This record gives sequence, C-alpha cells and structure tokens, in this order.
Amino acid sequence: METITLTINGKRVSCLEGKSILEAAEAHGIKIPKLCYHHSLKPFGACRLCLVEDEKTGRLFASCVTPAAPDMVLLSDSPQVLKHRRNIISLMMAEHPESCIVCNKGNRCQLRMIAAELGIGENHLYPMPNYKPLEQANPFIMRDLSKCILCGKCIRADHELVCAGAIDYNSRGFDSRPATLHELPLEESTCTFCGTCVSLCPTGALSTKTDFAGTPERESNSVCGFCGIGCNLTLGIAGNMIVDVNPAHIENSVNDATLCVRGHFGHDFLNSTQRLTHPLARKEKELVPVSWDNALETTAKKLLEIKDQHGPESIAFLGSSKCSNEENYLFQKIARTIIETNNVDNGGYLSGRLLLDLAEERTDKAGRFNFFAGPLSGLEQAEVIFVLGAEPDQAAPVLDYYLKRSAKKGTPLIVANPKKIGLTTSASCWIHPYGSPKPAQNFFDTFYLELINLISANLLEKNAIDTSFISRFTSGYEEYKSDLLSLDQKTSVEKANLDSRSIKNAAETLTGKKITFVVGDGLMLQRYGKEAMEALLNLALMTGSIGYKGAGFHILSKENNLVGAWDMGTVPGTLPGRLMINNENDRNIWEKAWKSKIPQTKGLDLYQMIKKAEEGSLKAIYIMGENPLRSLPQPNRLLKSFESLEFVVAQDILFNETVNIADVVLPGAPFSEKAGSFTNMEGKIQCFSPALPPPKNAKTDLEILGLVAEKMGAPEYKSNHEDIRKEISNTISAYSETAACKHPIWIREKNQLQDNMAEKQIRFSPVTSSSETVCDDDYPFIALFGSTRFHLGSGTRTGQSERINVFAPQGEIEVSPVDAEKMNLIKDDRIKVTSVTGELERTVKVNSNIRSGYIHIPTAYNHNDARCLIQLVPLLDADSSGWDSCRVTVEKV
Amino acid sequence: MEVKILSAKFDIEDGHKLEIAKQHGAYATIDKLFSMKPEEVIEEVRNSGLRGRGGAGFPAGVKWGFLPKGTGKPVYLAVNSDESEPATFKDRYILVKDPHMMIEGIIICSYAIGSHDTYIYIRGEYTSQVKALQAAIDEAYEAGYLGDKVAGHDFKLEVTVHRGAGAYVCGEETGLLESIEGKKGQPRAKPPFPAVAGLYGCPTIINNVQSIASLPFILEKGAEAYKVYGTEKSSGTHLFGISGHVEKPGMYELPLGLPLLEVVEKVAGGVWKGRKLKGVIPGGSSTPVLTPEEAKTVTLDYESMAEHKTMFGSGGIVVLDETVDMVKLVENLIYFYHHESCGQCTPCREGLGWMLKIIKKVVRGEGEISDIDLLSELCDNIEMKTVCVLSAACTMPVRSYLTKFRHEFDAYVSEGASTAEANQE
Repeated sequence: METITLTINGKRVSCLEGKSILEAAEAHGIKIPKLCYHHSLKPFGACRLCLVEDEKTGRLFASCVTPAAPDMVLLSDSPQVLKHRRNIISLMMAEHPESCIVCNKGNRCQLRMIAAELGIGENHLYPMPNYKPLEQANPFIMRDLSKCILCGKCIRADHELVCAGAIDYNSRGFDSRPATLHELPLEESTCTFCGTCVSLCPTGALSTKTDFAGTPERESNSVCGFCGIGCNLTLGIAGNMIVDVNPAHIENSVNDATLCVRGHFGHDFLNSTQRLTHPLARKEKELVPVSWDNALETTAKKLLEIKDQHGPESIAFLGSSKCSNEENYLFQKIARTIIETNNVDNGGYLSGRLLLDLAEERTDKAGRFNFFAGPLSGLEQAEVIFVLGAEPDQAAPVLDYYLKRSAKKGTPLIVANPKKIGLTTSASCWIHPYGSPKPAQNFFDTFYLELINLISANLLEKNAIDTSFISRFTSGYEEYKSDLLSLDQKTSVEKANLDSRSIKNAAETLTGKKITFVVGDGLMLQRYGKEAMEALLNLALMTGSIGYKGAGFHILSKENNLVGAWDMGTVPGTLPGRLMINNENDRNIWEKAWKSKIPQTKGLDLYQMIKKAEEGSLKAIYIMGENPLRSLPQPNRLLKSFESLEFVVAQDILFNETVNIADVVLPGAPFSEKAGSFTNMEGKIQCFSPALPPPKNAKTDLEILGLVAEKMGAPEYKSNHEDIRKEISNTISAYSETAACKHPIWIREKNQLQDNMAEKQIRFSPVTSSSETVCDDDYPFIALFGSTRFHLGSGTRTGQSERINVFAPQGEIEVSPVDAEKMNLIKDDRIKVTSVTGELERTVKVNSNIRSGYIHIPTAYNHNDARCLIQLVPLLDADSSGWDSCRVTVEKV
Repeated sequence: MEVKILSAKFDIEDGHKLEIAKQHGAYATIDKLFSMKPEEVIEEVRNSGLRGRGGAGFPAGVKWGFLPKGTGKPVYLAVNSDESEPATFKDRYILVKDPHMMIEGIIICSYAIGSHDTYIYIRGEYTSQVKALQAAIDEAYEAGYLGDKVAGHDFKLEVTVHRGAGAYVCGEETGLLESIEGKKGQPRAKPPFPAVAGLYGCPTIINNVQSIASLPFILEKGAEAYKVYGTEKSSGTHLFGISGHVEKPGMYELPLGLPLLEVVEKVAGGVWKGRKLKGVIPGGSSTPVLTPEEAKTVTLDYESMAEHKTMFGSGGIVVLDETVDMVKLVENLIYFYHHESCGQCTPCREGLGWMLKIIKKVVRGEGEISDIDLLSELCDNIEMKTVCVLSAACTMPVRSYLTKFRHEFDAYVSEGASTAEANQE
C-alpha cells in the first residue's frame, strides 16, 4: 500500500492509502471533533461534526468517511467549518431535553464537551426537545432516548461488535430512534446487557443504572477478574468505591470496545457488605475478629505444629485460578519449601485441567504450548472453526463475539452441542443428537467422542489429511489409521443418535482446511471427556491443525487465571514453568533458585485432598481465593470432610461457604485492590495495578502470604510483586518479560509456527469408542448443568452483585414441552430434582430447545445447589459419570 | 412539438403485452446486440449523449465506464423506479404502457456492463404498475428473453422486482441499495461509489427507468439518430410531466432544448383560467423556482437550466399561477422533505425539523423578520453538509423562494397571516 501526502491546516501529513482524512489527521495530532466515529466501528458519517474544508474548492468533506487523497489541501478549523460545527451542535442542543442538567453522564458527555469547546452558550434556536419515555426497568441499562443524537454507535456496536441483533433504527427523520423489535423492553429482546453500547454512547441516552450520581473522580485501568478472556477494564472511582466499569482504551486489548454483562455490571460485588474486612479466628465455634498478628501467629503456629506432628503430607494448599501469578507462585513456594509438601492444587481442577495435562503431555515435546491456538484475534484468520461443548455466549461472551464476527465474515463455523446454544444461529453446521431418544438411552455421554471419531473417519475416507504434517511431526499414524478405518460407523451413529448427514456435512466443511477448535466444559467435564479430548487431538494431528497460524485449540477457560495458576505450579505435579516434579533435572532448576529441597513425589490433587481428609491423614488445609464448598460436587460430603480437619485457613475477599467453616480467616483483596498479573486463556500475561486500597483491615494477598511466611520463620519470603516477578522471570523463560511488565506479554504466540516444532514427536493415541450406556430406571431424567452469562463459576462473587441478583434471581430449571405436559407443569411451578447424592427444589420454565428426557439446571444459583446432585468422582476415574450431567428424578412439588 | 420515441407504443391498445409489443418492434435489437461487443454497446450509448433521466443528468455511458474490471465479483444492475420526486410522473407510463421497452433496455445494459442480475426497485405505492411490470417480466421469462439463455444467446439474466415501502430517500441510489439489501433506507457515504462497491458490496450500476428505456432506440437506430433530437449537450427526448395551473396538464414526450414558455403555451395550453404566471418549477419539487421573467429565456435542457441557476431535474414541470401563496408552498415543501428525511445525519434530521418549525410559525402569523433570516441561514448550514442530497433538495428550492419572493414572507410577518393570505386571493 502506498503512502500519500496531503496538507491539513498547513501541515504536511502522510498516511497509508485508504486511510480516512480523520485518521490521517489524528495520527498527526490534529484534533477533529466527532460524535459518531469510533475506531472499532465502520465509519458512518452521521453527525457531520468532523467536516473539513477543501481549501482549493471550499467544499466540505466528512473527514471520517472521506479517504485521504494525494495533494489534498484541507482546513479543519476554517471559519466555514467552525460555523457549520456550531450549527450542528446548536441543533443538537436545541433538541436536548432539560434533564441534561441532572444527567449522570455529567462531564463525560461528549456533546457537552464539544459544545463547551466550541463556545456554544445560549442557543439562538428555540428549544425543541424530543421527549421519549425513560426506560429503566432492568438493573443494568438506563435508556433516555430523548438524549439520543442518532450517532448510531449503539446500533453499529450491536451489529458489528457483539452481533446481538437486539436493536436497529425505528421510524425515520426526527422520530428516528434506536429500538428493539416491536419496541419491546430490552429484557424482552435479544440484548445480552453486555453494555458495549452504554460505553460507546456519547450522551446520556444510554447509561449505567446506578445509585451513584455524578462523574467518577478518577479512572484506573485494570484486568477483569471473572472469566479467562481477561478483558481490559477502566474502573471509574469515586471515594473508595468503584462506581463505573467500561472497556479500557488500550491498543490490542482482547475485548476492544466490548465487555459482557458480568464485566460491565457485575463488579458491584466489590462494594458488597459481605466483603471480609477484618481477620477472624474461631473462638468457641464462632468466628470473631482478631488482630492481624493473632491471626497470622495462629496460622503459622498451627501449620508448623501439624507438620511436626503428622508430617508435611498432612497439610494441603489450595491456591486459586482467580488469584494473580505472583500470589500463586509465592503460595506454592511456601507449600513446597517451608511446609515441604507438593499437596498443592487450585480451582482449575474443576475445569478439567487434568485433561489438559494429558493433552499437553502428548504435544509438549513438540514445543511448549503447541496445541493452543494463541490470540483470539486468530479466529478472524481461521479457515474453519469447530466449537465443541462450549457455550461461549454464556461462559465467555467476548469469545462469542469473536466467533460471531468471524462467521459473519464468512468463516465456516461448526457447532457440536446437544443444546441449541446461541452460536448455532451463526453456524454453517450444527451437530446435535437427532430424533427422539430411545427409552433409557443416554446418548449424551457418548455424543462428543462418537461424533469426533465419525468426522475423523469421514475425513480419512476422503483422504482429507495433511500427509506432510503427519510424516514430519507425528508418530503412530498407521495404527491410528487402521483403527479409524475399522470403526463401526453405523453403531457409532446409533449410539450417539447422530444423523450421518450432519457428520458428512461437517466433514465436507472441514475438508482441506486447518481447523481452529474451541473446546469447552461440555466436552471436557463429561464421562468420555478424556477420550473425546484424545480423539480431538488425533483429528488435529491428522489435519495438520497444530502449529499453524490461527489454527489449534482454544480451551474456553471460565476462570481468569486458570492458565497462570497452572504455569505458576499451583498444581500437584508440576513446578512453576510447568517443570515436572518427578523429573530430577526440572526439580534441580527450582531447588537451585529457591536454595531449598523440593519433595520428589507428586502431591495430592483437590479430590485426593478431600479423600485424605475423609481418611484422616490430612489434617490441615490452607485455602486461598477458592470456595470449594460451593464449587465442588457433593458439598455436604465436602463439609464433613473439611470439618474433620484440625485446621482450615481461608484467605478470601467475601464471606462464603468455605470461610464459614475456617478456623482462621485472612481478608485479602480482589484484582482491583492490588498489583499483579493474570495469564488469560490466550496465553497473554497482563499486569494490573491497584485502583483502590483494600477496605479497612484487609490486606493484599501477597502481603498476607509474606507475613505468614515471616511468622513461620522465613522473613525473606516477604516481597512485593515486582520482586516476585523478577524471581519468576529469572527461571521461567516464557515469563521472562514480566519483570518489566508494561504491556501485555505473550507466552504462546511465539511458539505458534511449525518451524519451531520438533520432528516426529507427537504420537497419535488409539481410537477409543464409548460403551453403550443406559439410563437407570430409578432416575429416568438426565440433568444437564450449564452456566448463565450472569454468573461466573459457582457464583461466589457474582452472587453478591446486587444488579445480577435483581435481574436473574431464579435460575429456573428448563424442561421440554413434552415432559412439562406429562407432569402437568407450567411456568413457575416448583419441582424437586433428586439424584443419588442430593436433591434441590426450584421453579420451572418450559423450553422447546430442551429434549424430552432431559432437564437443564443453571449453575451458581441458590448457593450453587446444582452441585448437590453430582457425584464427587474424579473425571478420569472409570466409574465417573462426569460433572456436566447426571441422572435424576423429577417431581412436581 | 411532440415526438414519439419512448412513447411510440403508449397509444397502442394492449401495447404492454409481449405479443402486441413484438408486432411493433419490441426486442428487435436483441440479435444486433449480441453481434456486438459489450464495449461497442457502451461506446454507442456514450456517443448518443444519453444522460441519466433520474434527475442528475449524468451521462449514462460514462457512468458504465466507471465499473472496475476483473474484481471477481458479480456486477449488478439496479433500475431506479422509485419515481418519488413530487411532480414527477413519467416512469409510471413506461412501466404500465410499454414495460417490454424497459426490459429490452435492461438486456442491452446488462450485456454492456456484464451483469446477470437486475433489481428493479419500484416505489411501494405503485401497485398497478408493479402488477403490469411483473406480468411483463413473467412474459419475458416465458418467451425466453430472460432466464438462463437470453433469446437463445449464451447470456444469463435474472430480473427481480423489489418493492419499496414508501420512502423518498430510497430514490437516492445508495438508499435504494440499502433498501434492496433489506436494511433501513439510509444513504451511504460516498466514496465508494456504487459502481465500485454497490449492492452487497459488489460493483453496481443504477439507472433510471427512462434512461434504460431509451436504450433500444439508440441501439436500433444508432447514436446519430438519437442525437437528431435535442441539443448538442442535451441530446434525445424526454418525457415531461406538466402539471399545475395549465389548461392541458399531462405527460408529453418532447425533444430537449425547447423554450419552456412555448411548451407551456403550445403543448400544455397555457396558464389556466386566463390567469397570470407567477412562477415555474422546472423539474420536480427540488428544483429552484423560476420567475416569469426567467422563464422567458430558459429552454428545456440541462445547460440552460444551469445557466438560470436551477436544474433540469426529472422533467416534472409545475406551472404556478398568480394565486399561489409562496409561503404556504414553502411550508408544504419543507413539510415533505422533513417527513422524508431518513434521520441518519444531523443537519438534515434536525435542520429540516427546525425549518418546519420556523415556517409554521411564520404561516401562523407569529413570525419575526429574524425568523426568515434564520430560515435562510439554516439553508446555508444544511446544504451540502449531509450524507446525501435530500436536504439540498429542500434547501435549494426554499432559498429560491426566499430570494425571489421574499416580500411575501415579509408580508406574513408585517401584516399578519390573514391579511397576507387575503392579499394572495
């Protein structure tokens, strides 16, 4: 592309051909006012404020939509231009209602700002307000369309960025306004309350519904602490409160101008009355406030006592997929070097991290992190996208936007999900079980494994394989090939109730392309999750979809620092940098760095910790930033198990189920009140600084850990995040840039290309098939569990968001119309659901997307009671029935 | 003065039917067309000097030449049958009386520009016209003039009729494209021009019904035969719709270049009821008005109109007699354009609302002199500062009335509404 030169305000500026006049001007520091332009949206040219004058002809151009041309001579502030701009603003102000004076957009209103800059005072035009009713029924977004200036940003954001299709223009001319279909309230439209439009709206037409009135005193950039996307946020602060959240204007941020309902509106949980603000200790069965010294002393003393009495193996450490890299690093270092145990795990256990361990083990030798696809922006270059068992519109909405945008551009998208998830409407092919299920047959378990096997077999038959990749990088292909060719396709199709046409369609779509996989809990957390993951890796190898730009795996991560906690060694089998505990060389690296011995054997994982507690050999647990009593299956069993422990330390930010049974409670700080870094699902390390200090007596988690170590006699562990980063980066090459953490750092992107991969190293695994499963007659229904976009994980944090509780307090169980009729159920009836392990009661909602014989239970509601129904059996155990579904009875109450 | 080129078959009974139309020469040019190279067809049209009959008068052959070559994208033809300019009633005659002439024109144009898909965008209010057009298209498909092989030649052509939902702005070519795409009719920013990125982002030519219908004659008789009519720069004939205060209002086909007043007198029978002429709107409501003095010297062609600081427009001539209240005419004019503003860009949406508010105030007799100045100032502030020319279609004529008939506006202010009104009677 050629560079062209033009003159603006007498200044020679150059830009690439195709750039608009506005872009060329802004790149050279020439400010042109505008209201409808946003760099993430297609230029629109509606507000006409950005007009510039052609000095030669006197013609006016809208600079946002006019391409810069060679030798243009332009003026951005000639008398004609200024006169025109004043006229535009005067017209807008004349239409604006009197409520402008008390508008919450306040000094952030761009209309007001530009009016002030242009010196528009008393208007020579008569007021002509265009009154519209104020809409504020939902707890998130307030719409006052009388303040709308028709810049169209909300509509374009809806169409171009988040692809929700909730709003478009209604009427025309003076009456034209953004509207939902049939002008229904937002909550009755397809709006997801992501709030992207609110952040983009230049006036008070769209604003966050809040009790806070006025303009935040200051703003601070941060990284969202909810899901694994790691969105960049700007926190608006007034006093000691976060009063507003918007997407941060940071170049190359993963979310750009978008956010989701949780990120935008759910952070009010930070101001919850349930925040822990004082250290607590159990005195005669009650948690009572104690001094920091007392709490730390008790913690250190008790842990060391138990270590002395019962040995290091009697103590476990549960770190957090929500806490920072630095905290997780120090946490496991304390466990491994002071207590001398590898009994370290984190909440990522619940997201099927064990499966990822296995997958990485297979591909790791070929170059670190190689099966991951890297940046989400790669989805825009993807040749074909295959989404399995993920529900991104609920679990990670920003990922959903990426997928929908890519599909909109024409990238073929295949969705495999028994549920009709939001993404299916954008998909070129949706694979789901067909027909009515045979009685007592559970094809749900077998669904993913069989369909992956079938698609692989189909591709093989079509010879749609990457032979050069196979021969160069893999081993064991011949066995795999013969396995696959001998697959009994007919039985596979029947077992999973598939339609062979949809399999053929999918295979056709995948033929000759590198595949970008998006894999979610729905696949990993079910009974054949491990086998399905293996089969998927085989498919990736066969098609050469690894180590190729844009292709590979995106593992949908529900926790913000799932990857970081893994990298930092907050897991039983690996040390920071994913060095293996049972490998002497690996161990030596850290022993040298820490000047300390590290126990040689793999420690207990989360499940084993519970088991050992039940057996009585585990005596104490230190839990940082996790709430296992709400997030793990069979909470009652867990409660018993934890109550049998001698000593439980909970370091957290909110009163929760686990804090309630702790012996010592250490009040920590969320992301907004401390410094640190998170590693998102793309493998991008993002640093953040505190926007606020922790409330009252709470401390940052890093400080708490340092103080605990000090009390244990290791004062050298006390350090700030910068020192820890240096320590990490000295040893882990992938994190080597974190010491000077200014911009986001990629740990995966560099390892993307096949050039960096070792030869002949990735082996194909054998083809496995599912065995026929049948439903237990005593439990005729299958309950499927799923998150909603309003809650994250078990809902410990989002459950404290007032907005979210007001909007979605129920978590209705969805039943099929057929079953509803059979059981005589209508909306809002209550049902009791019982499984082998527990029961719950909730109201119902009839949903035609649910198949007969199934019910759908949203998780995170009512203290996450859905978990009572699931059996606590590790995923990889032969008798595990998975954590994503279980068998139940349903009765009307 | 009248000629019969476009209107040759208008008076033939059932001339809209394929069988009858064919007897009178419809589709006679098809074989000749396919014996020519597309470039030769474009050259012929360019030589004919045919100018776009939608209002802007851009040379059709030149427009076709803007199509980029080798984009790998399909080329679309959109025929603009929105005919939404007030006082314009010419295309409707073609649609009803001789639709096959237009279909033949579509075949010629499509072949020339290499397009295989035509969309005819027709205004929603044209119910009987849609019926007649669709019947003719069905006949043409049936007879093999449209479809996989046009008249047996290796050329595919599909024609689809798309009905508008009643918006003036959909006559603007990019508003029209948005509407065909199923979106709200809001004009697009240009560039890119439709010839580069039009319908569904593909190269698109948009021509008016009358322009397309002129093609069979040009191809059959040649560019020179076409240039016999009209002036040097405004060649050919035009369907003029003459309305207003004349004895014989109606649609007349005339060569370009005739003196306006002579046409009013001789063709339309002169100002009715023996009244005096007050003004002439020369080419649809959006063209600046001419005073009787100006009308004396103007001729019906693009150049003369431009010299008189007005526009040829759509050929919709409105004759105004001495009883016309120009203030109320302007109110009606602003009302129309305000009502038709799509609302996309600020100057038009807000500005026209403003102008309406002021003119209503003046008409009520509550206006001040400053209001009339404000009206004029708003015209300046709106014009040519918008996405499309809809607002200019309002401000240009309004300014002409404000300048040429200012005293009438002043009278509304100084004498009050009723007196001013009474004086007009």
